[in-house]
Amino acid sequence: MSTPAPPTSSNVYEFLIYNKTGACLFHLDFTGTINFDKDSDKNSDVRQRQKLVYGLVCGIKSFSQMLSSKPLPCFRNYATAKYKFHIYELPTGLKLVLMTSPLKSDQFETLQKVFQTLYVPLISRNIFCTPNQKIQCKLFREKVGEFLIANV
Amino acid sequence: MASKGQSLHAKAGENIFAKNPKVSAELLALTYGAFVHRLIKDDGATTSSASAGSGENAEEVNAILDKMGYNIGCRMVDEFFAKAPQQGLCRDLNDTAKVIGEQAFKMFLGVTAEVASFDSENKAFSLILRENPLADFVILPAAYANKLWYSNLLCGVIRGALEMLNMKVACYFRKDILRGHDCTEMRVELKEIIKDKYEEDDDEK
Repeated sequence: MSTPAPPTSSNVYEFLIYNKTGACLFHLDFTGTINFDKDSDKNSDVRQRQKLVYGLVCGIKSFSQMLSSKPLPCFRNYATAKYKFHIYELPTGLKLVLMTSPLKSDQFETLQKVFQTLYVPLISRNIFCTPNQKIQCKLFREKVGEFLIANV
Repeated sequence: MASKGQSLHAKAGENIFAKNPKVSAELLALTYGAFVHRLIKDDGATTSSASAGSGENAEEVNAILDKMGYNIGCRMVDEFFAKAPQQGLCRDLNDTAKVIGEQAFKMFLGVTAEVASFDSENKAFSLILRENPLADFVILPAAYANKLWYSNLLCGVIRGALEMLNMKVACYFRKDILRGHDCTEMRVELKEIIKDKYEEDDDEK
């Protein structure tokens, strides 16, 4: 799927949505460095990256749970010198992952708002979008891009 | 402590119900009624017998309502978490039952369902509706009175929603006010908890 000039931002780097089986439903890149052309190729760089991020999410969740005194998962974000990684996970297994500049504060509420005001009205209530399948909705892509650039 | 926990879900349900845009209950009841009526007629027509009106296609209509409810439930679960973001994972089936009966039913239908009849292994429970907004103004014709579960859509919704939460359940009606019983009772039985299967490299669509 070719997209017109992708949005770029100095605050937001990447945004991904995964379902509970690990399939990447949605991937938006704000840095302009990711090549989506070979998306159909199972071993393409972009697919490897998506799988890598998912593996990271699972690993970090289980580590943080093991170290925590409370039994429930509560991992929200981690930061390195180069980027900050935020996650909002739903009890249905849907995961919204956001990578931003390390100077930004916790974006948990932003991700919640993306879910409440964009995902639910444009995807969950959309009869053309099957739940847990790859998101093809162009309007969603645009709106998410605008929202994240404006609100992160 | 138990009563405090109960009213927490009910309170949350009421608050969210109060904040949401509402649709007229009569509109919902009449639309649903017209819809079920249409299903019965269409289903009778396609089976090309004189079954429309004679009650024989009630089972098929029940199945169609359940399937539609299932599709609705799969999406409704996202809607639920969008409206109640503080709701996390439930600790056990008891919790799940309360969230469904006191919070979710209130949020979407404006009525609460009582949770009752937990079985000995805690794997099944009943939801009892004193009033069913879908069944206002409805009288079932004699031919369908004992075969059609008019609100079977609700069973499908519960089944779909819980399946998205990794719980495979069977949900069916036991009693219906439309059949002359004293209340409307749905039985929910937990069949199994589905473990997340991480998919192998999937084929591109």
